[in-house]
Amino acid sequence: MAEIKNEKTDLLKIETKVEGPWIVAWKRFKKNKVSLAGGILFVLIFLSVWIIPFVIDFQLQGDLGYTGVERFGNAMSINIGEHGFDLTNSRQKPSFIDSESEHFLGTDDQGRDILFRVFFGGRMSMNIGFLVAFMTMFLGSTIGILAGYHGGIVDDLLMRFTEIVASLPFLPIMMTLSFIMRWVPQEQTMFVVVIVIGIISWTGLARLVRGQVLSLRELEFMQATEILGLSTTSRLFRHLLPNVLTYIIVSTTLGIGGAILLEAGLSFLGLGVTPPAPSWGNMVQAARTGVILQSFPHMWVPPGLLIILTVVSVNLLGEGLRDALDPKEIR
Amino acid sequence: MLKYLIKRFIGLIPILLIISFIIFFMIELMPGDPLSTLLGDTMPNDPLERARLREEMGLNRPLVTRYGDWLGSLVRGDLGKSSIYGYEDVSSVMTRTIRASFILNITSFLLALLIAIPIGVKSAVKKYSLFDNVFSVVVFLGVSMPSFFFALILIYIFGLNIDFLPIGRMTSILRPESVSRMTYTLDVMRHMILPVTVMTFLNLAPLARYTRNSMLEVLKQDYIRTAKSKGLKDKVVIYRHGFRNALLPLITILTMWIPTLFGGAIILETVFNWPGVGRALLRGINGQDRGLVMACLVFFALLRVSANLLADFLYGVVDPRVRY
Repeated sequence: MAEIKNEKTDLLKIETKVEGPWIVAWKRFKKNKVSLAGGILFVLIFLSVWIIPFVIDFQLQGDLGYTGVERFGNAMSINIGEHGFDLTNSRQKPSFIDSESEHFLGTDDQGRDILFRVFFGGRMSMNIGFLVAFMTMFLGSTIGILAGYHGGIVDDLLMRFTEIVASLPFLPIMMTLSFIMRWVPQEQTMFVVVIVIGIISWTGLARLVRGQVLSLRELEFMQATEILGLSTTSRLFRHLLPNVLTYIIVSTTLGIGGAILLEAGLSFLGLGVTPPAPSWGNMVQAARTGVILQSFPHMWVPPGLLIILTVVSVNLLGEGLRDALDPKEIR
Repeated sequence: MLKYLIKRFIGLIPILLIISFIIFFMIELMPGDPLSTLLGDTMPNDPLERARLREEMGLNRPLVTRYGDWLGSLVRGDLGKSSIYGYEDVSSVMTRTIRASFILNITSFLLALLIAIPIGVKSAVKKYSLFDNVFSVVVFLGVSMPSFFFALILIYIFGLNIDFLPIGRMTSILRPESVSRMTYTLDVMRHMILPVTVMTFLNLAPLARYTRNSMLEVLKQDYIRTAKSKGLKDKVVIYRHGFRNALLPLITILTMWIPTLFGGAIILETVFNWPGVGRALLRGINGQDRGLVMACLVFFALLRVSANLLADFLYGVVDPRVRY
């Protein structure tokens, strides 16, 4: 008897409880196990590139009596490439994977601990991925919203501009731009890569957002904001933006993976992050030397595998978000 | 139709002009002295002499004038000399490298199409089956894998450890004119195996995905249900009624894919030392060979713009519903 009563109140509760769109989306996302796994994996990789270098660093501190950070400056600095430099190892002829060594993945041709560099390089690749994604998000959604909302000549000009940027050949232009920006000090090449990739890859999002805004603009709620006499900023950002937010989130998430791949490609060509600062791309670049390619795969396989793992996980996350956030997609 | 095309062409002119100006301006910003790239070994040491030459060659004139001159010579087909290719004409370097790239790209594109379309159709028809799921994983790997890493792994396995396939360059025959055409072609084909495998796999993934999506869209349509209820065989329904219509959006996407193909080949040409236009661009950039870099950038830009135009055009040709 008591149980039945409980059920009844539960039913009543469900009827009265209003679930916000975000909760609905989260519930739908949770159901998709593969995407959830991708999301968790991505978070794990993200955390480990920030935490693992410190763990290794403390180990090295025990061996060498100092921390890398103390000796070689802050995280953005170029010297961090030398960070994890094992003095005892570099004096001998380069020794590689060795079961007795404290280097889990061995050392590279300059005696640097590979595990440390893989995770430290991951920090670089992740930073670039996120910064590019944010830059794309900012440029793409601003231009898209402005063009779609204002229409007329503003729309014409902005869309012409978008069309021109979209007709540029991506990779060749990125390569040339990156070379032009060689004057940037070595320790800041990360920002060069971010700008070079970000400046050209926002066009897809801008078009998407513009299309959405164009159709939203005609709906009643936007007319209501006009009648209420709200300011343009409030109408754009409080009322229009939340409605296109899902597209922006999905596109930004997928953009992280794309940016990590592009960074790897540019660095591999020697036009991305400049060594000795490590990134996944320029660590794989070592394999362009025949000897390393043939005899020391432990130098270039781990960063390559991590690129794949990261991009797969972030793409799974992005696709899961797309399915979860799109209210039209009924499963 | 014709009217629409003419309109598109005219609309393209300002875009091409702006793109060419962006390219010109970027080259202008490139580090290095343009005079030394133009003259090479004959560069005089005397600064006065240099200044005189600079004036003579018009390097001191305003940017816009030089842009106009450059555009003029570009239209005439005079691309200057390439300093890193031993002062060969840029146009002849370009013809050679574009041909090499083209062989590689077209082979892998056709192969990818031949494999991707049946896979895409099958996995759309049997949505969420084992086949579809396995293929989805492969596609996911294909779009998430850096091309060069895949190439390096293949080189490591087949080229170095099994020593089975050549890992670089277009041919190992030093004097192509000394052997018969047949031997030369066979040797080039042997060198193509690894790069074509990598490129085919990487192109396969997005192409198969597009096919699947486009096919899924079509299979939802009413006319498919009609065809099925008429009692037609599955094969007929899928290929005669379904696939033909799925092809429409696919053609556009395939055309747009071509510039991506060439662009993506830059990295693979570098890995495999393939003497294509992408590797020429990278060498040009690193060697500060302005003439060559400009020519390559113009080539890639033209490829992109013309692919867009072609996609528009084809869309109208294959789909009678589209009116301009």
